[in-house]
Amino acid sequence: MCACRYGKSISKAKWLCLIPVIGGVCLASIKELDFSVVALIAACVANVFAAFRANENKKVMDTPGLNDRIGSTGNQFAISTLLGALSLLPVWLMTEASRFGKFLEIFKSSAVLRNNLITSGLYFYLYNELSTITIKKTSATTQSVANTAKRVIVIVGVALALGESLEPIKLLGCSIGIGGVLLYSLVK
Amino acid sequence: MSLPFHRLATPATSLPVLKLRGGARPASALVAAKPVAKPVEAKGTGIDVGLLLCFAGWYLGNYYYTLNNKYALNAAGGATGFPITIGFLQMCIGSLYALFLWLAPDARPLPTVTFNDLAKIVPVATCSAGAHLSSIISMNLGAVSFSQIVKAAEPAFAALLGVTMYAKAPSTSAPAQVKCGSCCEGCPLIAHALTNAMAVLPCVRAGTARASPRPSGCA
Repeated sequence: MCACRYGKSISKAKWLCLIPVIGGVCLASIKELDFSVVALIAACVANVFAAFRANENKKVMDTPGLNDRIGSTGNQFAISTLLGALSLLPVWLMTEASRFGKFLEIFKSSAVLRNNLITSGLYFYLYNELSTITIKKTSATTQSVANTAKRVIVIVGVALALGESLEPIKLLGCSIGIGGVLLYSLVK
Repeated sequence: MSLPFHRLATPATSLPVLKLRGGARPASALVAAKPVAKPVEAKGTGIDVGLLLCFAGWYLGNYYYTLNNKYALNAAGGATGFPITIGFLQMCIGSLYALFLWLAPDARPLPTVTFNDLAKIVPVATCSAGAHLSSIISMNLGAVSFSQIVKAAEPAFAALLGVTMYAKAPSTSAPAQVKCGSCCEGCPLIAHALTNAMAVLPCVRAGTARASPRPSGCA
């Protein structure tokens, strides 16, 4: 169980759990009507970043006294968001900054963009902070189950709300994949 | 946290909300039985109203974020639109909110971090921001549900990264029990990261804080 946290080795049972995780994702991709290779790669890149983050985070928290200097979950979160925004600035400057005038035009004329951009920014901050607080308070098993439930709710809910395809194969792949993730989190 | 002796030791005192309810109607056998039954469900961590609200807020917030994010992306032009601008601005909005909470009276005490501390947090923050931006690019191009399914496979990436790039022995500075506590917390936390959460810095601390009542064989 210590494996993924401390980078030693991962039990055979855990490795086996990754088979349905990857298989489920592949299955879900087959019948995806709105499939895009770049979307798949970008989601994988997001996963790599998230995995790096978890490991880097562990290293940072080993710094003596850092937790006390940060003070609270809220502060830690605020610092991370501020530094994250700063780190995105050069990326934005190099890519879409040159078209910012066009964006401003749409921003001024479209209430849909305005409202959804501002609310999504706030929701993003708030739900991440809440998830951190929740995770601090619950046991490992509860976290795994809660994460799985959340994923199902968000995937199905958003697909329904946006009218995205929910083919039986996509649902099956999704179920197998998420079931595998749950098993992976629970198995020793 | 599912310790039998832990539950027996503090059947009602760990749940002040339930204790209050029990005190309001002391004659009722049902109410009296509740404080004993509930901690079993809560696995000794004390699931209270506040925590349930946290759960609800987390789920709802995540749902509405994902939805509004897609609406904003579509409104800005979809595939040929402004995913990076939107991702960047979302982080800026979060930053403004954070700054507001520091500047507002009676809100949050400022951290006392040094420049070196900040420099150490930069990689974590950059990874969070990178994960955020990549997710947005993915959700902008394809179906949101598809991106979410792929992102659910994050443990596979964490596992590969863990055995390839971060192969190192556990630190010897912490006592065995503390390590054990962090371990139990660790894997689900990494699994949690796949839900596009931002830095989960206090997880290690939460693990160490709860390590003492754990039996040593929990991992």
